[in-house]
Amino acid sequence: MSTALRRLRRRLRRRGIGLLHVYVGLLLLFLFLPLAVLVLFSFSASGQLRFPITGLALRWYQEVFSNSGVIDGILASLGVAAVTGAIVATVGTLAAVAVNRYRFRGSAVVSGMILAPAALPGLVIGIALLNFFGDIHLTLSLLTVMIGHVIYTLPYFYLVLSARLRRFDPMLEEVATDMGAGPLQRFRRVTAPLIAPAIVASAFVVLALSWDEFQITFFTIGNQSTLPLVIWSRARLSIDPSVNAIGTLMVAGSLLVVIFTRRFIAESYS
Amino acid sequence: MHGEESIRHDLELLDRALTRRRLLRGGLAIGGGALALPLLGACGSSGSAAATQSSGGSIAGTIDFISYVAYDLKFPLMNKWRSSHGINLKSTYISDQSTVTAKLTSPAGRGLYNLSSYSAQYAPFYKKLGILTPLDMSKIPNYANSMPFFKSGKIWSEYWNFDGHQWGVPFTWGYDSINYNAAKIKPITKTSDFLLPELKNKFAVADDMLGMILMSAQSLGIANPRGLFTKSQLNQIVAFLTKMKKNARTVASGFGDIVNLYASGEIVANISGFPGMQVLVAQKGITTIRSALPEEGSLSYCDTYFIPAGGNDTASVYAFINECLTPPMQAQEAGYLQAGVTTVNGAAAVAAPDRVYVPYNDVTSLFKKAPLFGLPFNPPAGYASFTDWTTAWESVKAS
Amino acid sequence: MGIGQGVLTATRPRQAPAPARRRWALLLLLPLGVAISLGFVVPLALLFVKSFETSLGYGQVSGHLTFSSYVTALTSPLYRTVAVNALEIGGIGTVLTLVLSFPLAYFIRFRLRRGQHTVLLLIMISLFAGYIVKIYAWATILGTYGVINTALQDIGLIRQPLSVLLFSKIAVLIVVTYLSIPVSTLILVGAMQNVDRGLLENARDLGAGGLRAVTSVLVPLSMTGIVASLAYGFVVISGDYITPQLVGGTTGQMIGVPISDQFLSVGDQPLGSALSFLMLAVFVIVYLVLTRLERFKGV
Repeated sequence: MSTALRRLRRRLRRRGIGLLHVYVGLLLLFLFLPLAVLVLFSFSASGQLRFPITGLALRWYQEVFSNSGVIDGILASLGVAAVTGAIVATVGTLAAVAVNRYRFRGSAVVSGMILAPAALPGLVIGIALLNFFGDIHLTLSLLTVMIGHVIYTLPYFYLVLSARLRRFDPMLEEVATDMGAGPLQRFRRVTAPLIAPAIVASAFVVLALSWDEFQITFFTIGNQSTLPLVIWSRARLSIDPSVNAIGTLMVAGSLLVVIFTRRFIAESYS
Repeated sequence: MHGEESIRHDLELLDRALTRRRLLRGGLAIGGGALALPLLGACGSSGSAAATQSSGGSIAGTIDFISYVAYDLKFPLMNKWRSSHGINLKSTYISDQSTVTAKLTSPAGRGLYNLSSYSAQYAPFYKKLGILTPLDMSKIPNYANSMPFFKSGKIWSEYWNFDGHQWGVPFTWGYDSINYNAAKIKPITKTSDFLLPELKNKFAVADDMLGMILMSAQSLGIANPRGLFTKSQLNQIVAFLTKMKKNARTVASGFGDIVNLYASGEIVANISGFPGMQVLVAQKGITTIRSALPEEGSLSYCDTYFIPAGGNDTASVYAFINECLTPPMQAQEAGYLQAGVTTVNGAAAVAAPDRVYVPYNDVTSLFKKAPLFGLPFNPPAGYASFTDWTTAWESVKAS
Repeated sequence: MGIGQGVLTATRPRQAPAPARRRWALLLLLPLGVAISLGFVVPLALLFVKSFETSLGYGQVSGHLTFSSYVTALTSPLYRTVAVNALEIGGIGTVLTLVLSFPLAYFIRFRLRRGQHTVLLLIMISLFAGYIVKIYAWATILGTYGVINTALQDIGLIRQPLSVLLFSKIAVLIVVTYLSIPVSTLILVGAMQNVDRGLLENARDLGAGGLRAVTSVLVPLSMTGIVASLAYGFVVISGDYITPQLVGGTTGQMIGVPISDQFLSVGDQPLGSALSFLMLAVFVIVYLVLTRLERFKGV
């Protein structure tokens, strides 16, 4: 047994594939196997979630798209993500620029405060917000969901944007200042175009995080559902491939966002 | 018992505690229409003059519903009725009555919902919490067709009409049972069977506090109509339930989960269950689920529509409730909810296959075996309160 | 004064005079301050106050302040099992995640030239594919008649399906580890970006075998990332309240479940808050312990 393995290993080695390659391949397989299974079963003609798959069909997608609850969920998720993204991008950019560009005492504290929500599980943020909304008599709705998403995604936006800002050479701005540009002009002509791709890339991270968010949303949701919540309540009814279909739609949505992000990642590295 | 007795007579005997924790969660919504009920069996229309009456005025609007799955009555006939009257329906589903309590008592939940349900004996408690609204019964004329039990008498004045107002409209009732897959194991007849090693890791316990506590109490022989247990009796129940839970494959938080577990082959039985489970799982292709009333006894339930305080668009809600009490809708509900209906002419309209869920012809002996227990929201000194029950159940789940 | 002169002067860092600088900074930070205060600080403070209130049940509280919720939380046997489970699964899970992600991160950072972006992209896709979706996918895979059991039986490795794969602590561990690997990998890759490839090569030139080069050089240098990964993983895993409900069965429940119950149904909110803050206290301790690890950080 071991000689066969050794021979295999040697053969792979010759092609430059070492143990590490095998491991990475297996791990990536592990990461994608559940998703592959999910997508696969969403096309299963029968209602069974077991192998073997007897036939392929689109019926679950038809069922899903004709269901207003799912459509509402998609729209709600999109709306919340969009507004969250806009707010976080604004607030977060100002904060990241402030900390990055200006050396002032307490900037470390500010950074710490911004990152603090990431140090808590969604559970605690969720119950704190639910309790808070109860105390101030704010009715649960997509607005309260959005508030939760803003708090949740702000640290990540800040992290990603700060990392990119740190790579920027301040020299370009110095040049502008030396050439007589005032702060506003400097911002408009030099800073903004430079950091715009970074902002967009970070904002897409926010979109993806918000699209997928469940643990905080669970507490702050009112009588409308976002897509993950729709999946949750659907799966309570019955696990059939329609849940897989919705799940596949979620994956597709995330895929789109990540692809767009990639474009901006690539650009900002140039 | 007898043969064909007049439905009205039988149901007049419905005077035991109708307490029942019902976890009607999953599955019913999907394919509910597949049961294809004939619209009107109409084996002799029962007396009451008032046929379907509809309330006038504009009733278009949105119903924001929060309760168990299927209690929003999304079968085709009702869907058509709603869309023809411009009534939208948005539903939030819960798996336990306490979630309704939590959502409606929080100031952040006010105004979100205008239709919900309570298990009958929650009424005084919900009234105290301030989440019920007095109903304008002139908008629900079909209530007059209810069986006498549901519109008069002792239970009625405890759970539905008190303090000078009507607070809820009962619309469905049934009892808790045991379910098992007859193709995989021999029939289970007792609650205590679930403690046996033969069933280890093969069944699901429902996260149904009332059902589990009361069924255990029945099994231990300490159940009483007012639901009063001493602290030591409650500890007995906890010990019993802890043993059962540790013997189980999992605690399922909803009936939809239980249906899935049957379908994926993870379990061959569940407790607490209900007769309709047979139909739910049959929709997944497994037709061998059976229901049994445990020998030691069980509990009954009666769920009641109410309008949460702060709800808007109540015209639509009133129209909906009124409509659900008409014979054609009641006939559909019997099959959709797999339970009993509450009106006389409705019960007469229930098709034969759907009469199996509650023994319309044998009600007395049902309520001897499965009473509607009172709940100890305000127990006398020395007895466990409802909060104690909740803590007890949490401890079982966390054990 | 030409461009050349401008460039020359630009090499000397010039900054706006101090007071104006700070004023700008504060202005820019104002929206953030508002957001964080209202959305985070205030809610947490209110929750903290709530933990000292007396519960009247069903979400009601009286104004009377007391420590009783904390006493109950700490002494009641009810929560001991699930708290221990959370610590156990959190600890094992985050270490397992680190161990599994580290080689992947190393591979991406040091062994891939052109494929880096693609692989990172793949990882991000798996990350954002839907939390609840992934858990349900695993529930079907781990089932008695799921993919793993049927595959193992078909190969002949086992004769009976392994029922322990689902509704158990193992199931929870598998799923939470799976959920954490993408983020952990990204954190580690980020930390490794600052490690010069040359250093590893030097170590190898000096005679250290591949693995030794990695452990003696890379691990200390990426210690910040390792600590971040461990801390983040522990927090996220032990605070998960959905995974245990879906795949934990009767033995795999974690503390997050009763905490969420208190707010969504049962209604003893002071107790739920107390449990949460005790959990946060444990996190702080874990952070402190982990930052000690940073002592091993290399230059």
